[in-house]
Amino acid sequence: MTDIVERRDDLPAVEGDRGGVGSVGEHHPVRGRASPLPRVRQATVALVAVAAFALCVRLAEVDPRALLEGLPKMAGWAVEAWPPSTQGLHELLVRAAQTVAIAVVGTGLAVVAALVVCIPAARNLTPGRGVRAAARSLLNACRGVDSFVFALLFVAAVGLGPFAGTLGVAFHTFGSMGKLFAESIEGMPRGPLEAAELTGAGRFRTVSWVVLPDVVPGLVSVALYMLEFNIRASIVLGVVGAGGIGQQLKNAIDLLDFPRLLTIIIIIFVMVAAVDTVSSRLRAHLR
Amino acid sequence: MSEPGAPTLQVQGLGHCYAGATVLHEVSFDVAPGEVVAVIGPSGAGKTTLFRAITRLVDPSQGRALVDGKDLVVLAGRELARARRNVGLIFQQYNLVRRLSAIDNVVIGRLVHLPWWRALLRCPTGEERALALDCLERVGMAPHARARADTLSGGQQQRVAIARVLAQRSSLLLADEPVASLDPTSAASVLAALRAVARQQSIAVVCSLHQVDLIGGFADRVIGLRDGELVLDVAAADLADHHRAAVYRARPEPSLDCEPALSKEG
Repeated sequence: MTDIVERRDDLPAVEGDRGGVGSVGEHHPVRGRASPLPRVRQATVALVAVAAFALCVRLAEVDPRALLEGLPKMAGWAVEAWPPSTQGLHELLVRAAQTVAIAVVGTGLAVVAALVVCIPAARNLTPGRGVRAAARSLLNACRGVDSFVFALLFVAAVGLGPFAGTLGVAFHTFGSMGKLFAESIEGMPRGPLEAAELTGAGRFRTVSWVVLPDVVPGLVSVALYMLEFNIRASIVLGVVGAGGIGQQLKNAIDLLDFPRLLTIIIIIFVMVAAVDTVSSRLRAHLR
Repeated sequence: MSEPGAPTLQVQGLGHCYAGATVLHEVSFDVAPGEVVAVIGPSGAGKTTLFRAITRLVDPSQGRALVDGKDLVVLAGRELARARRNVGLIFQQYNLVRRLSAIDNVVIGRLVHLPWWRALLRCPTGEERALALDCLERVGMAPHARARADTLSGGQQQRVAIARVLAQRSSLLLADEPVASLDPTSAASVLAALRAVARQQSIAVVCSLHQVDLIGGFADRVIGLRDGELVLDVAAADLADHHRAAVYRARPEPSLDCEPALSKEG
């Protein structure tokens, strides 16, 4: 094989002198790196950074004394919380399952929507520049609004409960996932696409037969990763009244029922660990 | 489709400019059904651009490219897609879908004929599957039909790519450096497969080659490009050293006596 490559390169060089001259002409000197900042400027930059951080500490109302006073309180709760309560455990487990369901259904709906929108959003499959810009904006808008904010809106629109949470997860995940899907598709080699285009196959058939087989492992990996993330997100959603274990968590804190709180925290911990383990095992299989 | 005896491909005054420079300059030639034409020329002579201009992967700035009497240069949209079905292009890098089996890659050539839901479920009809297998058989790849494309060697992948074009049932087959990344044995098997399909099915083949020594026994005719211009068009049997020298010299010079080591290679 090297034999062929060498011969290829030799042909013009052996018979003409232009190849040699051209290659010399194309040789650019390596550009030096920008010289490091002078000392004075370094010091100024450092000073500004420190000042900005100090300002932020003030704005965040950081108060170590409050923390010191609060810590013993928390220690007291920890003592009070033991042993965790087993009362109403069945209810809590159902709520935990509800949280998983919010994440699963929300992610599932997002996968379907993202699969549709990622095609026009991907540079190598989009029918036109305007379409791509529109698809990108839609995805960015949904990505920019957190599931929590979407859930607040949907609680107002469809009422309290897990459905509002599911919609919240679905909308935000659709944005993030569609963008990741599009990037995954843009990363595929161009050759097979050109080959399919030349057979006269349309976009739908090309995507089904040529694009999907190539990118599906990547897409599944992204979807599982989003699912892991959404399990944690949907716990928080309970706090705004969107159902699941998070709602129980908030109730327990409001009632200062610490044994019940401990049980809830343990359930959350096990739930998150289980989903993460299963998901990362599945993702490892995709390699 | 076309009247008997008419050339499959007619390139007439085809030109292409890129970034202000002329990459292809009024190239004209015909190719008859079943004829194998080798295109030679140094890197950057416009061989790839010629193929991409004929298939409209780039838009030519002038001229015509008629396949079975239909000018691809003036077509667009659906009409272009339909006309392109008559042209199969084989690439240096094979361009198979890595994660699909050999036979599923060949079915890509039939994709346009599959109902949309069969394409989505990746479930071709038995008929299409049999046709794909037949195409693999013609290039000697039937035993590897179920192997995933990325597990095949370069020469095997290129033969699957030829089968994909066969499945397309095109009347013209363009091959852009199909053996440039292959070892000599694989290269020979790929070119033999190309020649066989040209003969058996009267497909016109235009194939660019870097290794001039592979032309004997493969091509019927040789055309040479230099700096985007057609500078050679001879029967393969008549190809002489001074022809090669004329093509591969960057600038035309009168002396032909500085015989390179090239002639000893073949």
